[in-house]
Amino acid sequence: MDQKPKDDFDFLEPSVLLDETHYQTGFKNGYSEGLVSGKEEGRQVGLKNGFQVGEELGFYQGCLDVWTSLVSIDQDAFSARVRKNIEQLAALLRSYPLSNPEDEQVQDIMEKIRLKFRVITASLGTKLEYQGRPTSSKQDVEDL
Amino acid sequence: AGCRQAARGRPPAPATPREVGCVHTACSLQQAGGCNLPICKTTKQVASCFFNGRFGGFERFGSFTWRVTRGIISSKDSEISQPGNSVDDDAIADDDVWDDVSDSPGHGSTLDREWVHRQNQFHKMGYRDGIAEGQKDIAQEGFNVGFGQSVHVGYKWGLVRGITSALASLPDSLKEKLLPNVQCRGQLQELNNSVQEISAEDALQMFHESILQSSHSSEEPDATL
Repeated sequence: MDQKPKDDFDFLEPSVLLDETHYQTGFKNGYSEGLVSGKEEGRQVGLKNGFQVGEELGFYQGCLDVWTSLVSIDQDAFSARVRKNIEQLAALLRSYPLSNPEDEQVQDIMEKIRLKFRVITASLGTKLEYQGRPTSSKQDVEDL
Repeated sequence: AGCRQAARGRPPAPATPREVGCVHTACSLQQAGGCNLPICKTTKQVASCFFNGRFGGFERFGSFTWRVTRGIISSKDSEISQPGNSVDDDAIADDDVWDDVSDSPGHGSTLDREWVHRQNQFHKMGYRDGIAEGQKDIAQEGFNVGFGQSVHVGYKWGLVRGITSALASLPDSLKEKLLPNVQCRGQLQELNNSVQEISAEDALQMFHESILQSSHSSEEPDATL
């Protein structure tokens, strides 16, 4: 059989190993830098997204507070159906995990909140609506 | 006090609860206690954060001094891109380091340049891959930090928007039931007008500026009101 002599070696191996060493050194340095820059970039995106999400939820909660205050004063201020929808909106808002942006249900709950809010405002015959940027917010979510 | 007196002055209707709804904070921002209706609790909390805190007093709030210009928005963009610049600077620094080669004449110098070039290439490849990997690994953590710093501030601002907008949209008859005092209704209408002047983008920009100011004044940004 044609076997390599024992004292033979791959003359390219030292070169490959050295290249790998340089690559790993660069990778290590880059990774450290990436942790710093990546965290700050992520934080900036989180700041924007968090403010927008918080503002929208706060808007719905504020409207809800007005309606529930009114109902507590005058039961006949709204119809039974509207009162039921208001209670459902309250439950949805309570279920939103405001402090957990990684929760997979946040988008689904937000959509339900928006829908319920529109049902209520339509019943009341008011033009009340959130003036934020739902489309932009959706874009942010898709980017993630 | 004015609200409460006005409320007591009216004869209580059979179906009306003892404490008639009244947004004390809108008429007297320093008012303590008051009724227990959810709108009063909420508005009190909101007012104590915004009207007496970061956004200044009610009068200043109403004078629209918080409008921002497009130029400031551009400035914001440059701020956000800052980390990218630092990365480029580091890359340039690496180039400088690796380009420092002794120039020896003849065949040996050619091999030296080729060898150093090869080392430089591998180092840069690793560096770029490392940057991408590091950024990817930390992105969610960074996002969560930023999100946690801003979500409650945005929420409180949204409450102000929601309460004032909902009140403004009510029929007059319901407004009078909820807020018997004429002065209260007037104050809240004025507040709503001020709030409507500030778009969602404006509010976000204000918040961003407040974060920057906090960062400059102290090491850790105090975003949570």
